[in-house]
Amino acid sequence: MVDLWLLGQATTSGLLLGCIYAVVALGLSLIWGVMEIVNFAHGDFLMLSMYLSYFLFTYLGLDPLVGAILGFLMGLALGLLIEKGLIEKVLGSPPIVTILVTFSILLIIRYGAMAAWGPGVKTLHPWYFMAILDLWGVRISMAYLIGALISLAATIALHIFLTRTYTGIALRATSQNRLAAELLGIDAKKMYTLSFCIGVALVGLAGGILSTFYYVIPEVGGRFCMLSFVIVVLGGFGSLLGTFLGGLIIGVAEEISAIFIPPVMKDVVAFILFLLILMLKPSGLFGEVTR
Amino acid sequence: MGRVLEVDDIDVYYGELQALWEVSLHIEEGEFISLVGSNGAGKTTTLRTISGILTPRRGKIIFAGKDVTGWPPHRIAQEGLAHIPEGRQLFPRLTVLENLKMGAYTPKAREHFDETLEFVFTLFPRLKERRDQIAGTMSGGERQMLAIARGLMLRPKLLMLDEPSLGLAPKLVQRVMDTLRRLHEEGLTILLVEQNVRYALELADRGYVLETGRVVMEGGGRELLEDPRIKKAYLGL
Repeated sequence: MVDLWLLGQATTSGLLLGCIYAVVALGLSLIWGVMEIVNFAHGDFLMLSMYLSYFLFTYLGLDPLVGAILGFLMGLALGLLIEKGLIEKVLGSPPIVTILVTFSILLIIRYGAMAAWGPGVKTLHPWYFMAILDLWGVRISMAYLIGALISLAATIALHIFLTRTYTGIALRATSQNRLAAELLGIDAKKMYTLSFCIGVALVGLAGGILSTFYYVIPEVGGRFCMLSFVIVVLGGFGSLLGTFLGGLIIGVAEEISAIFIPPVMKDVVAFILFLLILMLKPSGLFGEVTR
Repeated sequence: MGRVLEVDDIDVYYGELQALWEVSLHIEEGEFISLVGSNGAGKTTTLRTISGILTPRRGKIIFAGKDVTGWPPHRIAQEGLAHIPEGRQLFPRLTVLENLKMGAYTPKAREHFDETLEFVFTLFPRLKERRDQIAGTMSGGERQMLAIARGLMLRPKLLMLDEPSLGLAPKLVQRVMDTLRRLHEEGLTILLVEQNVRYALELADRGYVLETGRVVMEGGGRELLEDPRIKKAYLGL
């Protein structure tokens, strides 16, 4: 007999965790949606931001959530540098070229980090690391809750930007029809740069958030990159709402499955779910019709 | 009255394949110009070169007093050129209103967004009713109206349309042509590319005839309609 309290407990933390996953995946989804390139280095940008939070906390005593804001800014700068310096030069090349470029960036960042900071696990413990909030009998990790709230705020901000501002709508317009956008005076190259910067900035924010409860190692990006792919495909390419809901689904699925099976298997559940949904609906849950 | 567009002796290639030879044409402010010719004569190529999608290998393009040869499309659009390409090219997953907003993307157009929108909605009341509908879900006729409306939102010095009647029922073709006539009467400068030679030349102040990448004839719209060669080649008379 499954304990209902346990299920409610797992669902709650799953939803909170899912909000954070969603922000990681939204960055990937935005870059894919606008530029049609698969950013394999996505998880490693996340890792960089986790280290940023770790160092700021350990040496300067800065709260990792301040680190998350700085991670966001670092993402903007890093995104600008990499897009202008590398990606822009290979846009329009066959997909294998952009894949190799982002994969090279992954290798350089990941093993650069390993060389610089060593392979060991690092953790940081802000005051809310072990804090638990009791809400009507449901116990909630403070770190999850704060992380989820910031993630939710970032998601809402992104939504407002994409639906209420000229630049945001132009970003979506460029992703739907580049030529038409250019004929109306929209600088498509600028839109590409912007979407890459925002995408990396979002994952930078998520890195700071994750560092408050997740271990920091140079290879941490691999898991989150795969997870983001699953979330984006699950939700349907090109749909940011789908990506967000995909994040929630994966978060809940992981937490609930942890009740029944050993935690090391939790990614297996996510991937089985992913394959099942693709078999039933290949365009993803919220996949939009192609143009 | 000034000269809005001058295409001066351009050669255009697709890779190694030459598509236009020594094409020259000019448009004065307030004129309605039609570019006619059979399939593959180079009409679309001409428009694509004017708007900067293609770059001429030889010759010059002067738009609104500026030499825009070799400029990217978005810079030329910012000077006030609206090119409505073949097949509408809407943003299918944006709403009608969002599509119109993108029409007014350039700083100059954005300043006048509200008044232009009002004008466009009186021209196409249907779009006002459907302002929150997703563009991709509308009918062919409505989509063509949205494409024209979006071009107008740019407050263009020159509106270029490529085959606006394509795929529309005769009644809707008539609607589109009536709209163009009205816009012309209100002073808009228009360059129309049309397979439907009769409509195109009836509306036009002047017309150019393209054949296999060359301008072979030019003259007043009515004058060309009466020309025996045009009658034989394009009107089946």
